Amino acid sequence: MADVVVGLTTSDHAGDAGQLAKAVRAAFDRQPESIRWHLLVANLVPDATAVDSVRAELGTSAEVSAVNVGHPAHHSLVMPYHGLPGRARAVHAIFAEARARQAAACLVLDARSATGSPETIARLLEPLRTRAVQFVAPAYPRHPFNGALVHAIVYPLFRALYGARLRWPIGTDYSASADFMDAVLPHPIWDSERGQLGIDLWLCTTAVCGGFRVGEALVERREFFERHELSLSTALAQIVGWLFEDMGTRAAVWQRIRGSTDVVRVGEALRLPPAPKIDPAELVESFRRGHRELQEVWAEVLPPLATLQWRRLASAPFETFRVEDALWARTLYDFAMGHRLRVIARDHLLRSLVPLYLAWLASFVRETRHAPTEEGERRIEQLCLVFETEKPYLISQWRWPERFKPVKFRR
Amino acid sequence: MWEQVDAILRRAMIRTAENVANFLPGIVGLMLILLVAVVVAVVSRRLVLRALLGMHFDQRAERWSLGAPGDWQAAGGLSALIARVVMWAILVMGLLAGFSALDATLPEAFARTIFRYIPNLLAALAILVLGTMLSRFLARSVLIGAVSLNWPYAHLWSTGVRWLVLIVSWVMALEHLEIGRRTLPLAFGILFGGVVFAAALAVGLGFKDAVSRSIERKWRDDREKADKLSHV
Amino acid sequence: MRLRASAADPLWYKDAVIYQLHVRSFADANGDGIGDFRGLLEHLDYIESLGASCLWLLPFFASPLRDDGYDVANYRQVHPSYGTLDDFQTFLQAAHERHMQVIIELALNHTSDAHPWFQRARRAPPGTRDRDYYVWSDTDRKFEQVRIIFVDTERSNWTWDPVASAYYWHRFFSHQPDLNYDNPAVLKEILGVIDFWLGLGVDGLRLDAIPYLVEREGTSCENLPETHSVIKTIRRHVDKHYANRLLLAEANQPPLDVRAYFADGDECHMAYHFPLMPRLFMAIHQEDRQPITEVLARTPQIPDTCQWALFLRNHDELTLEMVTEEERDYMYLAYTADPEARLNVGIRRRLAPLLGNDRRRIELMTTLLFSMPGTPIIYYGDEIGMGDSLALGDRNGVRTPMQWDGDVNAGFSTVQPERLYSPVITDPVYGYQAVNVASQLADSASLLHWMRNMVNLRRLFHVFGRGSIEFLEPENRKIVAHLRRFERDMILCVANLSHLPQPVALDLSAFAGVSPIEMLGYTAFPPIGRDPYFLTLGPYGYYWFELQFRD
Repeated sequence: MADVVVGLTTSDHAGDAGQLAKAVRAAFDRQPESIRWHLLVANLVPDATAVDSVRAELGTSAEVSAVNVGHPAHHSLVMPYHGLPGRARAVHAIFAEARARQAAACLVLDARSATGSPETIARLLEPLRTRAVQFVAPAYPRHPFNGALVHAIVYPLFRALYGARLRWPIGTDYSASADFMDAVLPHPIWDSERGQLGIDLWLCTTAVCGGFRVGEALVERREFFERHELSLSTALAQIVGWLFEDMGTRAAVWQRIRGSTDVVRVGEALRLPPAPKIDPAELVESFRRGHRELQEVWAEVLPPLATLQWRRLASAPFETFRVEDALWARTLYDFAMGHRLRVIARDHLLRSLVPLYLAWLASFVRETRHAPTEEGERRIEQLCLVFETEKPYLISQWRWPERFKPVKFRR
Repeated sequence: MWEQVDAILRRAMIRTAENVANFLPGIVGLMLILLVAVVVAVVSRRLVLRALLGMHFDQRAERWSLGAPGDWQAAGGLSALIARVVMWAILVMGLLAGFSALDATLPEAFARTIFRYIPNLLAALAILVLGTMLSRFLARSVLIGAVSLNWPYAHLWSTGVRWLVLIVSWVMALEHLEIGRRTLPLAFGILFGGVVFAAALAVGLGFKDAVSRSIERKWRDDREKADKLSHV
Repeated sequence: MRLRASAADPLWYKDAVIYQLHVRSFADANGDGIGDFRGLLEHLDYIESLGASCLWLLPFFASPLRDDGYDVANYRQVHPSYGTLDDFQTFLQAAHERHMQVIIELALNHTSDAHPWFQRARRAPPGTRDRDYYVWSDTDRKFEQVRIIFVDTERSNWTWDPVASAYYWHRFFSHQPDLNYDNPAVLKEILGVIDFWLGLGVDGLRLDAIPYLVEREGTSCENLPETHSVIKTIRRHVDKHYANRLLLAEANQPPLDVRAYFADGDECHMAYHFPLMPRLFMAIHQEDRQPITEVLARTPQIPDTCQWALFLRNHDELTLEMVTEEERDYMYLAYTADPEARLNVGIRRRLAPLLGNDRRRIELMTTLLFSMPGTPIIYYGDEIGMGDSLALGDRNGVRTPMQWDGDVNAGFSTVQPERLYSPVITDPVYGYQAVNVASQLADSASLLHWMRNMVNLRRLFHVFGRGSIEFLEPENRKIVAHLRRFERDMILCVANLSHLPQPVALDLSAFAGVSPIEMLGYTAFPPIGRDPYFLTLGPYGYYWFELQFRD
């Protein structure tokens, strides 16, 4: 029995698991009230070093268990963007353990990046215990240039579609209440290949669409880099592909949502880390190269007006290079329609988005790199509002696919 | 004399009638075979089309990256194209079978040769079709992949891959058709070897600096990665 | 333990869009000129892409086919022309895989005179159990005041059987003797038949002609309490053994009488709203909303678990039994320039010919159908505007082969045309070369595309199937405007019944502060204030608005 089950997902970062477990214990020791907690190490590789390292830090008397959730062979062909093949099975094991122990809450922490600080633990737990929230998503204090895929695509799209201002729907550290876990555990997504790619995003979307009370907690995060980091194109294809596929199954939900609302938020904004090194001129060059080579592919999804706008941008000088928010929003919506109607092979469609994304990033960096960090946040907020304003464009085409008329219109 | 003329005429008429009588069954046989072939071809087209539609072949082809439904729209869909190919194949075979019914030496011998050739022909057709589809898919994959990796001349790479696959397909198809059995593979081998050699030279001479910089970057200290941009 | 159904929601039928078809008319796979289950299976993707979530199959049991299968000769056998039981099961499984439910016909009021039960009954001595499977009489004077339904073909509800040396009772054709539900054995047999089909996984049964199950002297022999008792028994049996199944009542009666077939939610789940359908046609012809609002005002409340089934056209004639004589005359004058189109007490035409093949009128009528409270039914072929053939007798003119493409036999069958079960429509307006699925799929502006998008739009919003209805009463009677509400959804439907543009001022002051969003294009309209809300609608124009409160 336990009040809280803390699940650590770990792969080949055994040392991190030990440190994190130590920090988690310290965090619970410092909580004002006594909480019975249990630690579950969900190992995504078939070795025991992670749990050994945890036990070494916590001692044998600590409430620790482990589960190895290696993935089926046919799943290993596809490395997910979060770098944790088998993650869905790990999270399922954590949730199942929590319910087996009749825990009222469960924390899922990613051993690679979570700091396990007392503040993080408290922020993830407090909304569940005191504010009747049923799912708490993370908000990472990262510089706006980092995680740009989330700022440019995931957050604005998720917010416009589902009406919840959750900053990191693909975050890998979150907490859930017992009734939320009971609702999601029976779902067949856990064993599916699709689940291996995007279980975190699915949980977040399900929480928002399923009428659960959702909150957001500031979660400190260590930046880390996978040895075998996926290419941008693969990561984008997976993440955006997941978002687009989910749109198909949840059309009845997102088509009725207008605007967006704040969620219960825990944690004050922290000082953001410094900006990573990035050369926007290089990004613009990548976009120009992409534009030269992929115009024909883009013509399968972009209407004439958008095509002209991107063409103008490709020849615009760097000093005035700016991707309008409306153009970016509509471009993503056009790609969503192209994905839905399968105008070309979906993988090709998604990967061809990379140069356009780099153009957006270049524009964003060029505009905000010399401004205070808050300017980046303000620009992202502005972008999200435009996504919401342009949502009727998407709905209109979604309900009447004949309105979707890209340059290479065949029907 | 008139009796002789009459006799000659009669014999000529009889011979002609005999020839026609000998020939007619062949004609009737040819027409019957053609009729059956037309019916079988039409029915087969429908059956094949229904079977392919029933197993969602167009959607599966898209998943197997043989082209999105939009790519085959001009042909009325991949399933429709395959069904049409089957229909015409049966019609052609029916025509050839009809020739053999005529029992005329030359056409019959021709028909026999064609029949022996048919498996090779079909294999060659299949190779060409698959090769064309594969070349399109690979070309687009290379194009998009090269652009994502910031490779210069992505379009050239893509075109090159496309033509390479097409040429390989054509060579294999022609080999199956027993055309230029020694010349073509030889020519292809020389060409391909030359291309590979030229590429190796180009990479070695032209890109040696880029390659060494790339290798250095790969083995750089992890601490420097703290400044690296992370998109996710 | 109850046998599970394919639908997880017990009220699945409230959100369904039903596609009605005859296996015989849909697609022929084996080239014998008659549609079959394998042909239907091959075209399930088409129905799925249309957005229909439920299939209603017209009768396909073994039958001499003298009444298109409603004369059943064997309740447990598939007619060989349509395939085998295995074929049916394969089709059923494929439908369920596509998340589509399947309703089949159960003609339980009568059988064919070829049915073994009747053959036994006519030879059995009077008073025996086998004899009493049917209703016999020594004279044709019993139940004298009972009306004849098929007035064009039958002169009496009794027919003399020389083998039995007695008259037998039939409310329909003389070759369809009525079963005798006063005999417990009959109900037991029918329950066995129900077990057979529901056990295979069928999701629903359309109970054909159920008002006429029981007869009593001195009554109309329709809607008797004993009939309802039989239906309640059937319902109890189904609920006990099967989960999430549907009983759909075919009761062509005034709304109050149909209400009885829902009882307290312990009889049928659904019943047709027969009176609404002709009034939709009347309204559009008169360009006046009154027929629609009046019939819905007279429609009684039904239990929460029950549902009206709505339709524009079906396999039968457009029945005018549930209108006044004056209204019937009006309909004949309005819609049947050709007297050949009249049959029994109705009009035997398809939707498109009834509406003059006017695309705008077809869209308007379909929009009205979809916006009314109930579950809509689309008759096969109406989604592409198929025509009919008055040259074919009885109701066969609306049961012609489905028009798939411009090929021979409209792509329905590979057989020679003269061997088709029915000729295809070939006239220049509705002929298969002009009206077919393939050409409409290729035309993004076609009726088929429009229909598909509307079906999918309707299915996005449960309010249409589950919500309340409240009519607004603008001064302009050519406009019909109504509000649909369910949980947090509020939809305003406005339709112009006139062939000319019309203005309308709607009193929406109760919704001041709300922004209407036109649903088809998702266009925001000006917010509603305290003053009347002005709209202009084009000829036969319509709007569906989502009413959302401003942020």
